[in-house]
Amino acid sequence: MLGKLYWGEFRKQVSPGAIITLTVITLVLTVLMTVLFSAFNDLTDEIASEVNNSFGESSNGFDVDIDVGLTDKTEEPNAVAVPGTTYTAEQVSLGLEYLYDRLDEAEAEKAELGYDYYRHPDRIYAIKGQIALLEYIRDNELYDVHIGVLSDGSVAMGAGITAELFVTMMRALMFLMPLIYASIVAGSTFADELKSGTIKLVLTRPVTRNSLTTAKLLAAMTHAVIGYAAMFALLAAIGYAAFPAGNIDAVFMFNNSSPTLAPSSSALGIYFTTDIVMLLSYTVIAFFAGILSRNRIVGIVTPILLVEIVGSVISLAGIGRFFISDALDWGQFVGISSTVTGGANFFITLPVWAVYMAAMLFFSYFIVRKRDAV
Amino acid sequence: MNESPVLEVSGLTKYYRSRRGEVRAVDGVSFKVFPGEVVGFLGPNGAGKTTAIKAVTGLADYEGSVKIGGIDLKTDHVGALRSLGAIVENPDFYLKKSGEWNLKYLASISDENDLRKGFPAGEKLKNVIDARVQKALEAVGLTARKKSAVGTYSLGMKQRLGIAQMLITEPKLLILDEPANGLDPDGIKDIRDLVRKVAAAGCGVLVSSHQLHEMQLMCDRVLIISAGRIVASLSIDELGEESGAKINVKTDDPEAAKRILKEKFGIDNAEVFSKEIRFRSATELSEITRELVVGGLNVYGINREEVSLEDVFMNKVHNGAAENGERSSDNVR
Repeated sequence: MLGKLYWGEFRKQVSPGAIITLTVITLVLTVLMTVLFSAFNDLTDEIASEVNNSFGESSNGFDVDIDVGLTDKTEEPNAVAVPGTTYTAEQVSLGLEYLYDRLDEAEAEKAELGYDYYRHPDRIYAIKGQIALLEYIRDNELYDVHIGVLSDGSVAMGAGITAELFVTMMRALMFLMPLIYASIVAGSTFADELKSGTIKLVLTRPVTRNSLTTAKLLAAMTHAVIGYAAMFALLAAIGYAAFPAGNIDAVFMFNNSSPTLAPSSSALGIYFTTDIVMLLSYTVIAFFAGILSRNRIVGIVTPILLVEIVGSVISLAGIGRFFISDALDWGQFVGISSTVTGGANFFITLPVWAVYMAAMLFFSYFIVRKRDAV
Repeated sequence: MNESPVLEVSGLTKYYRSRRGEVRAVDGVSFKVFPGEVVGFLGPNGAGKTTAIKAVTGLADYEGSVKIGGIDLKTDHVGALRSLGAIVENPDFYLKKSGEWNLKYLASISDENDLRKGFPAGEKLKNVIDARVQKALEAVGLTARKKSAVGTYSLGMKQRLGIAQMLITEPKLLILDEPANGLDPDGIKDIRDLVRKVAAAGCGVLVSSHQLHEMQLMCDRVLIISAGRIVASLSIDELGEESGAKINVKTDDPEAAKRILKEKFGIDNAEVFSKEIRFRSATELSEITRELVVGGLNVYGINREEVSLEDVFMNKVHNGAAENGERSSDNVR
């Protein structure tokens, strides 16, 4: 019975208006960003060839470049930053020695300052990121490939904007679209039926309310995942059509204390997993809000309001780790989240997430069971 | 009646909490509906009809006991609802979907064994549903518009689609809440025909209304509900007597008129006044006039006073026909 209910709910939840609107917005923004990034790539090509010419070296640009834009979170001079500069094994090893010294200094400073250390950007963290990158270059002998690091130190890939980098960045930007779609579907599924009265049609059939709730929730989650996958496929298609594939297969991963580099295939899996966790969490929040308020607008708006606005304020107040918004971002456990503030802790944040989700699911089922459906 | 009731309600109570305290919308209502019987739920707006129906159809929580087809709604919710077809308040549809889609969806979430009745074993469920949907669409004459979105249907078409929804699963108990609301006379007649048809096939029907006249045409028996209690249970004949139009005839020999009315029409409730006789009857005025004139009387005037539902209530309540719902339900059948 649950299967039939699920399939019925899945078909009922199809919202052509939302799908068309969100797809158009995604397409327009993606095309716009493609144009911008292409222009940026042309610019870096120009700079690279000029620098190479001035050094009198090979003019075939990228083959000899290492573009390493390390994080600028410290006042230390970047290990390397300028396009066109060439690294040798010796330089990397010297850079590492220098960074090890800076790390010792920073750790001593931290021991001295105690808690006050966190009033400023975390230098230790940044230095560890630079070390990880150089160690990666050294260990893999990547002396003649392109490595780019975003200014927040979160990603390292090929030179300029590669297809992978494009997908990674656009995914972060466009993730809002599947989140909105999930909120629309999950937030309105009960509210719409209560408003139109069709809930009476369903509930006077031989079905239990629990199975209806399960069917609606699973159907909404399916819509959310399909929406995300469609967005990802669209970005990948445009990305690989418009940009060169990167030739380094690694992504910077920041763990709590030790940043490392991971193969980009596993990073893609991690992005996907953490995105899905966030997406399904949004679905649950919208689902719960829609049931509680019996109003589709409240259901749709609540997750975005709660996570993006209330969550930001609470994070600023320094109590974010116990609030739902921080708990949704599993990227912080594996180091791909930009919200990392040094406070993320798997053993606090995961239980916090589980408690929020369990409570919302429990009350969703409870309210549907107990409240008169009319 | 040795058949077991298809709906058995006892001590049904539903109250809401409000700022003024507890409001008992339905207060200890008990009644039974037997197969093939059409029972009317008659009461003014706000009497608790819809509240009671929502409880009986499993939409609202309640105290007391509700058994559909002998199965208790509280202990076996799904089992009890298998026998039920219901339209509560209005027929409800997914307006953006087609009429056919709506029917198929409804069939898909109904009990599979019930759907398969009358079909050869091993038939694909999809074919069973398709066949039932097409049959229901034909029965209500909507085949031509089956692919159109229900939102584009006229009110009458929607009402017919609502009927088709009921026909798909062949319920043992049909509950219709105010089915005539907002309908034109044709639509009302469609509903009436459906009710009669399914009752003839052995389905028990509970139908609510605040319109006395409609109940008289449709029902075998009427439960009068007021302020959440059943104040009377009347057969349709009794209802006719209670509510039937009051007729006044001006004549010079009321006693003779009384005799003629008794002989010709079996009317025995006539009250005689000096130059006038009053009685209740649904008989046509022209027939009465003719018989009186043929009987040699002078008829100076004849008129019919419609009796409102409220009059019946007042009459019932004041005569103490039922002090509470429980007692009135005791004499149900």
